[in-house]
Amino acid sequence: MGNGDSEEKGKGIHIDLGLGEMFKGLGDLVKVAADLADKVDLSELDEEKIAELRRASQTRVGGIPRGVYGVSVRRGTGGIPRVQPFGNIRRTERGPVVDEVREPLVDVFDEQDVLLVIAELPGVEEKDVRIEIQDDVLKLSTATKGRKYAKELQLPCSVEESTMESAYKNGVLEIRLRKGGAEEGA
Amino acid sequence: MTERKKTGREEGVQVDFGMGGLFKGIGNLIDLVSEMIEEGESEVSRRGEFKVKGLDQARGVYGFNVRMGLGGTPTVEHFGNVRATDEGPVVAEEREPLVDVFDEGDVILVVAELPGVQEDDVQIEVRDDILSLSTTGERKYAKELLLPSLVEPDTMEATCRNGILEVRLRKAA
Repeated sequence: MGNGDSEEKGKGIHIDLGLGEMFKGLGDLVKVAADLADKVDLSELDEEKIAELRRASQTRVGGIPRGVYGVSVRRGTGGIPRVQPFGNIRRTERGPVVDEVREPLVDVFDEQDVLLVIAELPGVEEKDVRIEIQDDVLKLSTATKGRKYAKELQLPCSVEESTMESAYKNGVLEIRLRKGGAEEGA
Repeated sequence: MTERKKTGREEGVQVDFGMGGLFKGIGNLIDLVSEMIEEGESEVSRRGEFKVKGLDQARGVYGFNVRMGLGGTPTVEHFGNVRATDEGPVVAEEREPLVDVFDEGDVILVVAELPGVQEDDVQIEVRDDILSLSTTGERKYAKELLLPSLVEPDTMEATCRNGILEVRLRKAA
């Protein structure tokens, strides 16, 4: 039973997540990811695949992708930590596949009357961002030649679409939506 | 027997990673994450009140990118603000950004994703073949990277637009 006082580890603020099970999960994740670099073994790939990968990686950012995969962890409602994946590596039956379209990192904040959605969309133009709302589902996509993002997210409640305000600055999109009142029916 | 079938689902270009070692590793990782998401929800709700220290102020991000390296070997790079320590993962204030380095003949091009950062807030330092990148302001990023060759620091040109920083440096003769 170690004592809880976390040592000063030098620069930066280090916050102990104290997530219990979650903590362990995240620890495993970091470990597994760190092991990945050691697992690189080209002998397992055939010539064709290597050529394909090489071609893909030489194309610049706008073109075919490199693979990105990540998770974000933050405190959700009721103190429950929420884990959300992002990136463009998808699991398929044939193994992981890198997609051209990337799922962005998105946070949703409940601000009483308003929901605030913040998405990280570096490298797109404001005019290329498309937002669609249907009941409590928000669809976000970008129609640029360069970087492509798409995400569909479930909002914590239904919202009034007409109240939507959005702003894009320095690669970050902020969307504000008034929550839908207790509708006529209920 | 190769069956060249064109897959019908036209959803942009995809690169198939196959089932090799690295790529299996990625698959396992994704499984682990989905498990975490599912377990997290049930575990936590079962236990009721759950103590989370520090997550109010900080959000943990952890990720990696895979690309074919300059020498033709796949490279795995990490980004985010979750650091592994002996006591388990901790969330740092500074986030390591996603960075790509391209060799363009005479020039090295570094592309970093810094969402939420203004051009004025970026500081870049180059010494020999090491580039240090940091930002001030609301969102803090920091990264030190080894360039594939020596460069001439005086030739540096940097632009930051829509959260993407591009740095160009002439290679040292």
